[in-house]
Amino acid sequence: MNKIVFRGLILVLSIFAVYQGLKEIPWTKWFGIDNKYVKIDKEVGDRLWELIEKTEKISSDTNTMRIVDSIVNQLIVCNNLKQTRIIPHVIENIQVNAFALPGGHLVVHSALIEKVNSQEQLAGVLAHEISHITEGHISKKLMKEFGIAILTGATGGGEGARQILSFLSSRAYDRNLESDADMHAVDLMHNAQIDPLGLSEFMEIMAESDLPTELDWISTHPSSEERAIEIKKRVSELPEIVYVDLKI
Amino acid sequence: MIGGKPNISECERASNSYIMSIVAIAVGLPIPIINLVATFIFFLAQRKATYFVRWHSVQALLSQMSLLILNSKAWYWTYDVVFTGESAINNEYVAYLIAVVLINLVEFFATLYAASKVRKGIDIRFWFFSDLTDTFVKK
Repeated sequence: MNKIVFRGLILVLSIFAVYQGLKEIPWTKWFGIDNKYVKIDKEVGDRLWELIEKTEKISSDTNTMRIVDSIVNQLIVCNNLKQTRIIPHVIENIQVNAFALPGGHLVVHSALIEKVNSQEQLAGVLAHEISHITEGHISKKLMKEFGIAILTGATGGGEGARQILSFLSSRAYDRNLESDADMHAVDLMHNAQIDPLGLSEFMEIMAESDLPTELDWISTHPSSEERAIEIKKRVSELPEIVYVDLKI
Repeated sequence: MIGGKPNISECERASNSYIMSIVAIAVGLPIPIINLVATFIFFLAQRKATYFVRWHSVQALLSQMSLLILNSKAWYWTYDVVFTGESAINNEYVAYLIAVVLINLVEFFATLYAASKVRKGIDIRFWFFSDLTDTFVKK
Protein backbone atom coordinates (compact mmCIF):
# COMPACT_ATOMS: atom_id res chain seq x y z
CA MET A 1 0.00 0.00 0.00
CA ASN A 2 2.86 2.38 0.83
CA LYS A 3 4.30 1.75 -2.62
CA ILE A 4 0.99 2.71 -4.27
CA VAL A 5 0.68 5.89 -2.21
CA PHE A 6 4.28 6.81 -2.94
CA ARG A 7 3.97 6.21 -6.68
CA GLY A 8 0.61 7.98 -6.79
CA LEU A 9 2.14 10.94 -5.03
CA ILE A 10 5.07 11.00 -7.47
CA LEU A 11 2.62 10.91 -10.39
CA VAL A 12 0.49 13.76 -9.02
CA LEU A 13 3.57 15.83 -8.18
CA SER A 14 5.01 15.23 -11.65
CA ILE A 15 1.82 16.44 -13.32
CA PHE A 16 1.76 19.44 -10.99
CA ALA A 17 5.42 20.20 -11.75
CA VAL A 18 4.77 20.04 -15.51
CA TYR A 19 1.84 22.43 -15.10
CA GLN A 20 3.83 24.82 -12.91
CA GLY A 21 6.68 24.77 -15.40
CA LEU A 22 4.37 25.47 -18.34
CA LYS A 23 2.75 28.30 -16.38
CA GLU A 24 6.07 30.12 -16.27
CA ILE A 25 6.15 30.40 -20.05
CA PRO A 26 4.44 33.60 -21.31
CA TRP A 27 2.03 31.79 -23.65
CA THR A 28 -0.50 34.60 -23.95
CA LYS A 29 2.26 37.02 -24.90
CA TRP A 30 3.69 34.58 -27.45
CA PHE A 31 0.29 33.96 -29.00
CA GLY A 32 -0.63 37.66 -28.85
CA ILE A 33 -3.77 36.85 -26.86
CA ASP A 34 -3.29 39.75 -24.42
CA ASN A 35 -3.14 42.30 -27.23
CA LYS A 36 -6.12 40.79 -28.99
CA TYR A 37 -8.24 40.98 -25.83
CA VAL A 38 -7.22 44.58 -25.18
CA LYS A 39 -7.96 45.47 -28.82
CA ILE A 40 -11.44 43.92 -28.74
CA ASP A 41 -12.15 45.53 -25.38
CA LYS A 42 -11.08 48.91 -26.75
CA GLU A 43 -13.11 48.51 -29.94
CA VAL A 44 -16.28 47.57 -28.05
CA GLY A 45 -15.81 50.39 -25.53
CA ASP A 46 -15.09 53.03 -28.15
CA ARG A 47 -18.15 51.97 -30.11
CA LEU A 48 -20.34 52.28 -27.01
CA TRP A 49 -18.87 55.68 -26.15
CA GLU A 50 -19.60 56.89 -29.70
CA LEU A 51 -23.20 55.88 -29.11
CA ILE A 52 -23.32 57.88 -25.87
CA GLU A 53 -21.83 60.91 -27.61
CA LYS A 54 -24.62 60.76 -30.18
CA THR A 55 -27.46 60.36 -27.70
CA GLU A 56 -26.35 62.23 -24.57
CA LYS A 57 -25.16 65.73 -23.83
CA ILE A 58 -21.52 65.83 -22.79
CA SER A 59 -20.86 68.12 -19.84
CA SER A 60 -19.23 71.40 -20.72
CA ASP A 61 -18.51 72.27 -17.09
CA THR A 62 -14.72 72.57 -17.16
CA ASN A 63 -14.47 72.87 -13.38
CA THR A 64 -16.29 69.57 -12.85
CA MET A 65 -14.15 67.87 -15.49
CA ARG A 66 -11.01 69.24 -13.83
CA ILE A 67 -12.06 67.80 -10.46
CA VAL A 68 -12.93 64.40 -11.95
CA ASP A 69 -9.70 64.29 -13.99
CA SER A 70 -7.65 65.28 -10.96
CA ILE A 71 -9.13 62.53 -8.75
CA VAL A 72 -8.84 59.88 -11.46
CA ASN A 73 -5.25 60.92 -12.14
CA GLN A 74 -4.37 60.70 -8.44
CA LEU A 75 -5.89 57.21 -8.25
CA ILE A 76 -4.01 56.11 -11.39
CA VAL A 77 -0.62 57.52 -10.43
CA CYS A 78 -0.64 56.34 -6.81
CA ASN A 79 -1.72 52.83 -7.81
CA ASN A 80 0.68 52.35 -10.74
CA LEU A 81 -2.19 52.08 -13.20
CA LYS A 82 -0.59 54.14 -15.94
CA GLN A 83 -0.63 51.11 -18.25
CA THR A 84 -4.39 50.79 -17.83
CA ARG A 85 -6.58 52.80 -20.18
CA ILE A 86 -8.96 54.90 -18.06
CA ILE A 87 -10.84 57.76 -19.70
CA PRO A 88 -13.28 59.69 -17.50
CA HIS A 89 -16.34 61.36 -19.05
CA VAL A 90 -19.07 63.49 -17.49
CA ILE A 91 -22.46 63.62 -19.18
CA GLU A 92 -25.47 65.80 -18.41
CA ASN A 93 -28.05 63.47 -16.94
CA ILE A 94 -30.56 63.84 -14.10
CA GLN A 95 -30.12 60.25 -12.90
CA VAL A 96 -27.56 59.65 -10.17
CA ASN A 97 -25.36 57.15 -11.91
CA ALA A 98 -21.84 56.18 -12.87
CA PHE A 99 -20.68 53.21 -14.89
CA ALA A 100 -17.66 51.77 -16.62
CA LEU A 101 -17.53 50.63 -20.22
CA PRO A 102 -15.05 48.26 -21.88
CA GLY A 103 -11.87 49.94 -23.06
CA GLY A 104 -11.55 51.99 -19.87
CA HIS A 105 -14.35 54.50 -20.47
CA LEU A 106 -15.63 55.74 -17.11
CA VAL A 107 -18.91 57.61 -17.38
CA VAL A 108 -20.25 59.82 -14.57
CA HIS A 109 -23.64 61.53 -14.66
CA SER A 110 -23.74 65.20 -13.68
CA ALA A 111 -26.51 64.43 -11.16
CA LEU A 112 -24.15 62.18 -9.23
CA ILE A 113 -21.54 64.92 -8.99
CA GLU A 114 -24.20 67.32 -7.72
CA LYS A 115 -25.32 64.73 -5.20
CA VAL A 116 -21.97 64.17 -3.47
CA ASN A 117 -21.11 66.22 -0.38
CA SER A 118 -17.36 65.90 -0.71
CA GLN A 119 -14.72 65.01 -3.24
CA GLU A 120 -13.87 61.96 -1.17
CA GLN A 121 -17.36 60.62 -1.87
CA LEU A 122 -16.90 61.29 -5.59
CA ALA A 123 -13.48 59.64 -5.39
CA GLY A 124 -15.19 56.61 -3.80
CA VAL A 125 -17.53 56.22 -6.76
CA LEU A 126 -14.71 56.76 -9.26
CA ALA A 127 -12.43 54.28 -7.47
CA HIS A 128 -15.27 51.74 -7.45
CA GLU A 129 -15.78 52.07 -11.20
CA ILE A 130 -12.02 52.01 -11.84
CA SER A 131 -11.92 48.74 -9.91
CA HIS A 132 -14.50 47.26 -12.28
CA ILE A 133 -12.14 48.21 -15.12
CA THR A 134 -8.90 46.98 -13.56
CA GLU A 135 -10.38 43.73 -12.26
CA GLY A 136 -11.87 42.81 -15.64
CA HIS A 137 -15.43 42.77 -14.28
CA ILE A 138 -16.93 44.37 -17.38
CA SER A 139 -15.83 41.74 -19.86
CA LYS A 140 -16.72 38.98 -17.37
CA LYS A 141 -20.25 40.27 -17.02
CA LEU A 142 -20.69 40.95 -20.71
CA MET A 143 -19.51 37.46 -21.62
CA LYS A 144 -21.86 35.99 -19.04
CA GLU A 145 -24.85 37.96 -20.30
CA PHE A 146 -24.25 38.08 -24.04
CA GLY A 147 -21.84 35.17 -24.58
CA ILE A 148 -19.19 34.95 -27.26
CA ALA A 149 -21.37 37.09 -29.58
CA ILE A 150 -20.15 40.13 -27.66
CA LEU A 151 -16.82 39.84 -29.43
CA THR A 152 -18.38 40.38 -32.83
CA GLY A 153 -21.79 41.96 -32.24
CA ALA A 154 -20.96 45.05 -30.23
CA THR A 155 -18.37 46.44 -32.60
CA GLY A 156 -20.94 46.39 -35.38
CA GLY A 157 -23.08 48.98 -33.57
CA GLY A 158 -26.87 49.16 -33.90
CA GLU A 159 -29.29 47.44 -31.59
CA GLY A 160 -26.68 45.13 -30.08
CA ALA A 161 -24.53 48.03 -28.92
CA ARG A 162 -27.59 49.81 -27.50
CA GLN A 163 -28.54 46.70 -25.53
CA ILE A 164 -25.04 46.39 -24.10
CA LEU A 165 -24.95 50.07 -23.19
CA SER A 166 -28.31 49.85 -21.47
CA PHE A 167 -27.16 46.74 -19.63
CA LEU A 168 -23.89 48.28 -18.45
CA SER A 169 -25.43 51.56 -17.39
CA SER A 170 -28.24 49.95 -15.40
CA ARG A 171 -27.91 46.52 -13.83
CA ALA A 172 -24.43 45.42 -14.49
CA TYR A 173 -22.82 43.40 -11.73
CA ASP A 174 -23.70 40.74 -9.22
CA ARG A 175 -23.08 40.95 -5.50
CA ASN A 176 -19.66 39.30 -5.57
CA LEU A 177 -18.27 41.61 -8.23
CA GLU A 178 -19.70 44.68 -6.49
CA SER A 179 -18.19 43.67 -3.15
CA ASP A 180 -14.92 42.93 -4.91
CA ALA A 181 -14.97 46.38 -6.55
CA ASP A 182 -15.74 47.99 -3.18
CA MET A 183 -12.76 46.33 -1.52
CA HIS A 184 -10.45 47.25 -4.39
CA ALA A 185 -11.78 50.81 -4.35
CA VAL A 186 -10.87 51.09 -0.66
CA ASP A 187 -7.32 49.97 -1.46
CA LEU A 188 -7.04 52.32 -4.44
CA MET A 189 -8.21 55.27 -2.32
CA HIS A 190 -5.97 54.37 0.59
CA ASN A 191 -2.94 54.11 -1.71
CA ALA A 192 -3.84 57.50 -3.18
CA GLN A 193 -4.13 58.96 0.32
CA ILE A 194 -7.84 59.64 -0.20
CA ASP A 195 -10.11 58.81 2.74
CA PRO A 196 -11.83 55.52 1.72
CA LEU A 197 -14.74 56.25 4.03
CA GLY A 198 -15.93 58.58 1.29
CA LEU A 199 -17.33 55.54 -0.52
CA SER A 200 -19.33 54.33 2.47
CA GLU A 201 -20.54 57.87 3.15
CA PHE A 202 -21.82 58.16 -0.40
CA MET A 203 -23.74 54.92 -0.14
CA GLU A 204 -25.30 55.99 3.12
CA ILE A 205 -26.47 59.21 1.47
CA MET A 206 -27.93 57.26 -1.42
CA ALA A 207 -29.69 54.82 0.89
CA GLU A 208 -31.42 57.72 2.66
CA SER A 209 -32.66 59.20 -0.60
CA ASP A 210 -36.38 58.90 -1.32
CA LEU A 211 -36.37 60.06 -4.90
CA PRO A 212 -36.58 57.14 -7.34
CA THR A 213 -34.51 58.99 -9.97
CA GLU A 214 -31.68 59.28 -7.50
CA LEU A 215 -31.48 55.61 -6.72
CA ASP A 216 -30.02 54.32 -9.94
CA TRP A 217 -26.44 53.78 -8.89
CA ILE A 218 -27.29 52.18 -5.57
CA SER A 219 -30.42 50.23 -6.54
CA THR A 220 -28.50 48.06 -8.95
CA HIS A 221 -25.96 47.09 -6.32
CA PRO A 222 -26.16 44.93 -3.15
CA SER A 223 -27.63 46.43 0.03
CA SER A 224 -25.98 49.77 0.68
CA GLU A 225 -25.97 49.42 4.48
CA GLU A 226 -24.33 46.04 4.22
CA ARG A 227 -21.73 47.37 1.83
CA ALA A 228 -21.04 50.43 3.96
CA ILE A 229 -20.38 48.15 6.94
CA GLU A 230 -18.03 45.97 4.89
CA ILE A 231 -16.17 49.02 3.60
CA LYS A 232 -15.77 50.44 7.13
CA LYS A 233 -14.52 47.05 8.30
CA ARG A 234 -11.97 46.97 5.49
CA VAL A 235 -10.88 50.54 6.24
CA SER A 236 -10.36 49.68 9.92
CA GLU A 237 -7.93 46.94 8.88
CA LEU A 238 -5.73 49.34 6.92
CA PRO A 239 -2.65 50.94 8.48
CA GLU A 240 -3.36 54.42 9.78
CA ILE A 241 -2.18 57.21 7.51
CA VAL A 242 -3.01 60.88 7.12
CA TYR A 243 -5.38 61.34 4.20
CA VAL A 244 -5.10 64.30 1.87
CA ASP A 245 -7.92 66.85 2.05
CA LEU A 246 -9.35 66.99 -1.47
CA LYS A 247 -11.18 70.31 -1.00
CA ILE A 248 -10.05 72.79 -3.59
CA MET B 1 3.52 -12.88 -16.43
CA ILE B 2 0.07 -12.08 -15.02
CA GLY B 3 -1.84 -15.30 -14.39
CA GLY B 4 0.36 -17.59 -16.49
CA LYS B 5 0.81 -17.67 -20.28
CA PRO B 6 -2.40 -16.42 -21.94
CA ASN B 7 -3.79 -17.94 -25.13
CA ILE B 8 -4.33 -15.91 -28.34
CA SER B 9 -7.97 -15.20 -27.55
CA GLU B 10 -7.12 -13.85 -24.09
CA CYS B 11 -4.36 -11.67 -25.53
CA GLU B 12 -6.78 -10.19 -28.04
CA ARG B 13 -9.43 -9.51 -25.44
CA ALA B 14 -6.93 -7.93 -23.04
CA SER B 15 -5.50 -5.82 -25.85
CA ASN B 16 -9.00 -4.72 -26.87
CA SER B 17 -9.51 -3.08 -23.49
CA TYR B 18 -6.74 -0.63 -24.42
CA ILE B 19 -7.98 -0.31 -28.01
CA MET B 20 -11.38 0.63 -26.60
CA SER B 21 -9.96 3.73 -24.94
CA ILE B 22 -7.97 4.68 -28.04
CA VAL B 23 -11.03 4.43 -30.26
CA ALA B 24 -13.02 6.56 -27.84
CA ILE B 25 -10.37 9.25 -27.51
CA ALA B 26 -11.63 11.31 -30.45
CA VAL B 27 -15.00 11.62 -28.75
CA GLY B 28 -13.46 11.63 -25.29
CA LEU B 29 -11.54 14.87 -25.71
CA PRO B 30 -14.59 17.12 -26.06
CA ILE B 31 -16.73 14.94 -23.80
CA PRO B 32 -14.29 13.40 -21.29
CA ILE B 33 -16.72 10.91 -19.72
CA ILE B 34 -17.09 9.00 -23.02
CA ASN B 35 -13.57 7.61 -22.71
CA LEU B 36 -14.26 6.24 -19.29
CA VAL B 37 -17.72 4.92 -20.16
CA ALA B 38 -16.35 3.04 -23.17
CA THR B 39 -13.58 1.46 -21.13
CA PHE B 40 -15.98 0.73 -18.26
CA ILE B 41 -18.47 -1.02 -20.55
CA PHE B 42 -15.66 -3.15 -21.87
CA PHE B 43 -14.54 -3.88 -18.32
CA LEU B 44 -18.06 -5.00 -17.37
CA ALA B 45 -18.17 -7.28 -20.37
CA GLN B 46 -14.87 -8.84 -19.30
CA ARG B 47 -15.49 -9.15 -15.58
CA LYS B 48 -15.99 -12.91 -15.80
CA ALA B 49 -13.01 -13.39 -18.11
CA THR B 50 -9.66 -14.83 -17.09
CA TYR B 51 -7.38 -13.05 -14.66
CA PHE B 52 -5.10 -11.81 -17.49
CA VAL B 53 -7.97 -10.21 -19.38
CA ARG B 54 -9.59 -8.73 -16.24
CA TRP B 55 -6.28 -7.35 -15.02
CA HIS B 56 -5.61 -5.46 -18.25
CA SER B 57 -9.22 -4.22 -18.46
CA VAL B 58 -8.88 -2.73 -14.98
CA GLN B 59 -5.49 -1.16 -15.72
CA ALA B 60 -6.94 0.43 -18.87
CA LEU B 61 -9.95 1.64 -16.85
CA LEU B 62 -7.90 3.14 -14.02
CA SER B 63 -5.54 4.96 -16.36
CA GLN B 64 -8.58 6.45 -18.09
CA MET B 65 -9.95 7.69 -14.77
CA SER B 66 -6.99 10.00 -14.22
CA LEU B 67 -7.56 11.46 -17.66
CA LEU B 68 -11.23 11.96 -16.89
CA ILE B 69 -10.39 14.27 -13.99
CA LEU B 70 -7.83 16.30 -15.96
CA ASN B 71 -9.93 16.49 -19.14
CA SER B 72 -13.08 17.44 -17.23
CA LYS B 73 -11.30 20.33 -15.58
CA ALA B 74 -10.04 21.46 -19.01
CA TRP B 75 -13.54 21.18 -20.43
CA TYR B 76 -15.25 23.19 -17.68
CA TRP B 77 -12.50 25.79 -17.69
CA THR B 78 -12.95 26.20 -21.46
CA TYR B 79 -16.72 26.46 -20.97
CA ASP B 80 -16.15 29.30 -18.49
CA VAL B 81 -13.80 31.06 -20.89
CA VAL B 82 -16.01 30.76 -23.94
CA PHE B 83 -19.55 30.92 -22.60
CA THR B 84 -19.78 32.43 -19.12
CA GLY B 85 -16.83 34.81 -19.06
CA GLU B 86 -16.02 33.66 -15.51
CA SER B 87 -12.49 32.94 -16.66
CA ALA B 88 -10.25 34.69 -19.14
CA ILE B 89 -7.68 33.25 -21.52
CA ASN B 90 -4.66 33.73 -19.30
CA ASN B 91 -1.31 32.01 -18.91
CA GLU B 92 -2.68 29.53 -16.35
CA TYR B 93 -5.41 28.42 -18.72
CA VAL B 94 -3.13 27.99 -21.75
CA ALA B 95 -0.53 26.17 -19.62
CA TYR B 96 -3.20 23.82 -18.28
CA LEU B 97 -4.52 23.05 -21.77
CA ILE B 98 -1.00 22.31 -23.03
CA ALA B 99 -0.30 20.12 -19.98
CA VAL B 100 -3.55 18.20 -20.56
CA VAL B 101 -2.80 17.72 -24.26
CA LEU B 102 0.71 16.45 -23.40
CA ILE B 103 -0.65 14.03 -20.78
CA ASN B 104 -3.31 12.82 -23.23
CA LEU B 105 -0.61 12.24 -25.84
CA VAL B 106 1.54 10.29 -23.37
CA GLU B 107 -1.52 8.27 -22.36
CA PHE B 108 -2.45 7.73 -26.01
CA PHE B 109 0.94 6.35 -27.03
CA ALA B 110 1.29 4.34 -23.82
CA THR B 111 -2.12 2.81 -24.47
CA LEU B 112 -1.22 2.11 -28.09
CA TYR B 113 2.03 0.49 -26.99
CA ALA B 114 0.27 -1.57 -24.31
CA ALA B 115 -2.37 -2.72 -26.79
CA SER B 116 0.22 -3.96 -29.27
CA LYS B 117 2.38 -5.67 -26.65
CA VAL B 118 -0.49 -7.28 -24.74
CA ARG B 119 -1.84 -8.61 -28.04
CA LYS B 120 1.45 -10.52 -28.33
CA GLY B 121 1.03 -11.82 -24.81
CA ILE B 122 3.63 -9.47 -23.30
CA ASP B 123 2.69 -7.86 -20.01
CA ILE B 124 2.78 -4.11 -19.79
CA ARG B 125 2.61 -2.56 -16.35
CA PHE B 126 1.87 1.18 -16.13
CA TRP B 127 3.57 3.17 -13.37
CA PHE B 128 1.24 3.39 -10.32
CA PHE B 129 -1.84 2.10 -12.20
CA SER B 130 -0.45 -1.45 -12.32
CA ASP B 131 0.08 -1.41 -8.53
CA LEU B 132 -3.42 -0.11 -8.06
CA THR B 133 -4.76 -2.78 -10.41
CA ASP B 134 -3.00 -5.47 -8.37
CA THR B 135 -5.00 -4.44 -5.32
CA PHE B 136 -8.33 -4.46 -7.16
CA VAL B 137 -8.05 -7.58 -9.30
CA LYS B 138 -7.84 -10.85 -7.45
CA LYS B 139 -7.12 -14.22 -9.03
